[in-house]
Amino acid sequence: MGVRIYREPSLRNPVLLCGWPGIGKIGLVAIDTLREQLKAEEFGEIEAWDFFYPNEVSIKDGILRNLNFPRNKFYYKSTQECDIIFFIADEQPSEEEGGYGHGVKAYHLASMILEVGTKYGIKRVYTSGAAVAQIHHTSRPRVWAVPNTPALIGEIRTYDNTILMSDIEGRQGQGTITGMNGLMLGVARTFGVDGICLMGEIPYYLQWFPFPWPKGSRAVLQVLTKILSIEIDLSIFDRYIEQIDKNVEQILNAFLESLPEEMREKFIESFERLKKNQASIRPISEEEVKWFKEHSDEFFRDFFKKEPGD
Amino acid sequence: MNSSVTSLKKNPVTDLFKFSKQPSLNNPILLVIWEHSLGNLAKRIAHMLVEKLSGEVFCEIKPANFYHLRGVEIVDDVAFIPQNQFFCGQRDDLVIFIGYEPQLNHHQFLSALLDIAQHHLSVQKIYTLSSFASVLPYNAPRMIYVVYNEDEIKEELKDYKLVDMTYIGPPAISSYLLWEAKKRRIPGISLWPEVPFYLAAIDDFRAQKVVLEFLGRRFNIQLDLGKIEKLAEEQSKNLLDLRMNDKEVDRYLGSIELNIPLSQEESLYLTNKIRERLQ
Repeated sequence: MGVRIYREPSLRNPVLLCGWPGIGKIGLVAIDTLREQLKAEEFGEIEAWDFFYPNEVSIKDGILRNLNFPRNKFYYKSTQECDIIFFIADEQPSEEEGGYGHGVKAYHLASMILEVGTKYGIKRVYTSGAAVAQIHHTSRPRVWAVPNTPALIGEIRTYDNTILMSDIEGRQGQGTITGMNGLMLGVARTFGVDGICLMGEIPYYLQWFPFPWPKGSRAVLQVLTKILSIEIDLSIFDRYIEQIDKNVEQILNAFLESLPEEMREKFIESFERLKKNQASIRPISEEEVKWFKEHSDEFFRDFFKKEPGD
Repeated sequence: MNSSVTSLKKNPVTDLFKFSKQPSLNNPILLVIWEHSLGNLAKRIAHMLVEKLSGEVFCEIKPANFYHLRGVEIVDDVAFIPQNQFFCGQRDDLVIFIGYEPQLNHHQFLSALLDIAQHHLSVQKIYTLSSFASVLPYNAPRMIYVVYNEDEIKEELKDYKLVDMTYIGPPAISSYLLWEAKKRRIPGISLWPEVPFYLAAIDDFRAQKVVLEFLGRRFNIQLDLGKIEKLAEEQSKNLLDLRMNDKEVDRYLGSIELNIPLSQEESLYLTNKIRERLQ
């Protein structure tokens, strides 16, 4: 297992931002958009073959020309306000097919990223992902923040549009961050590095949606750019969000059409309740949550599974 | 770009395989056959070659690192664990590897396989046998598509009527193996016989015969193909009979002959009917 460093950037106390694919690609889109906007330069990579199966082969006229692996790259950017190291990956290592990063390999990868980060003096790491929430898709998503040390709680409370786990009724400050976003926080702790995971909300009925959820990514970036005191043009999300909103409406309408009448009415009623309560922390009642979970999970999972090929 | 590589941890590769004996070999060719290939190619061909060469296992890649070993699978009433074995027999210039694609740690698996080939057996060349599903009539000749990991070896197979493959997409384990072999400067050739999709889960005797003909000629092995020829003829007769008694099957096979695409449902119907009849 190796790290390949192409050049040695000179950085002043950089922060490390990590982006992986996950639900709605919220974290990856957020961090990679920031990398693109800041025109960060590539300076290294983690050799992918110990973690991932190659994702593309190129054969022409019988000759094996190339074999590509998922991206696992480091980029850097020095700005007036701060220096940043980006780690962007196209996949999460997992010992289970299709699962989000877990197991020995995931732990090794997190350690390797932090070894590179600490070599350049990072004191803090930010990861980003999705918070599956009881919200309506027209709501403005909030950002759930989880630090790896209680010392950061006060700071998080100053962030706009951001909540802690204890702000969500019924959670009592508890929860789980699956995959690399969570694992990085834990491993960072062992390296003595502070870490915060910023999770953009996605309506829970869209967690199987086959497209990214840019509203969640934009919400994360609104918070993250303020933390880092940098400005980027977030209007690039506008057209993307408009298109996704249209797709969601079309798919939900088709989904509702496919339901028996009684079930359809219940769903419409529940969507309306979610919509009306979009500003609250816990938008629907405990009973409604239970009902939703019991009736919708399977429907949406099956329905969205069909979408990519339809 | 100049680069530096930091090695963080290396597993001792010697733990990954074991030799039961050290055969006397002379820069052999390694033929890699993956189990679970379409048309039962691997099962039949591997068995026939090993039998013909009086092959015996001399080395094995251990399964522990490479499969989800949660208890044991039962296959055809028998407890099953994936085995990855190297065979050699009467010939000192040919080694056969018969194995299962790893589910985990693919790179480590291929490194172990190539370490054995390169450092323990001094293999001069690697052939792999895979297969791919194709839309073609059952009585059409089966072509073998081919991939080389270097230009130079293309020349030596020019008289074999192989079809050069062109493809961009997700790689199979054979392509990954050829890529890793290329990094070690081991010439590699990957054979991809086509199998009609509706025979993928059962025997495709025609494809088996074409591959055995190629391997026999290439490696100078006298193989008796009379039995497999007979099985191919019987299979064709059975399919003809099925066509005559099932209008839908006849229509779908006719569409394939006329190059008219089938829907997913039609393909499934055809596959199920043929499997029911031939299995």
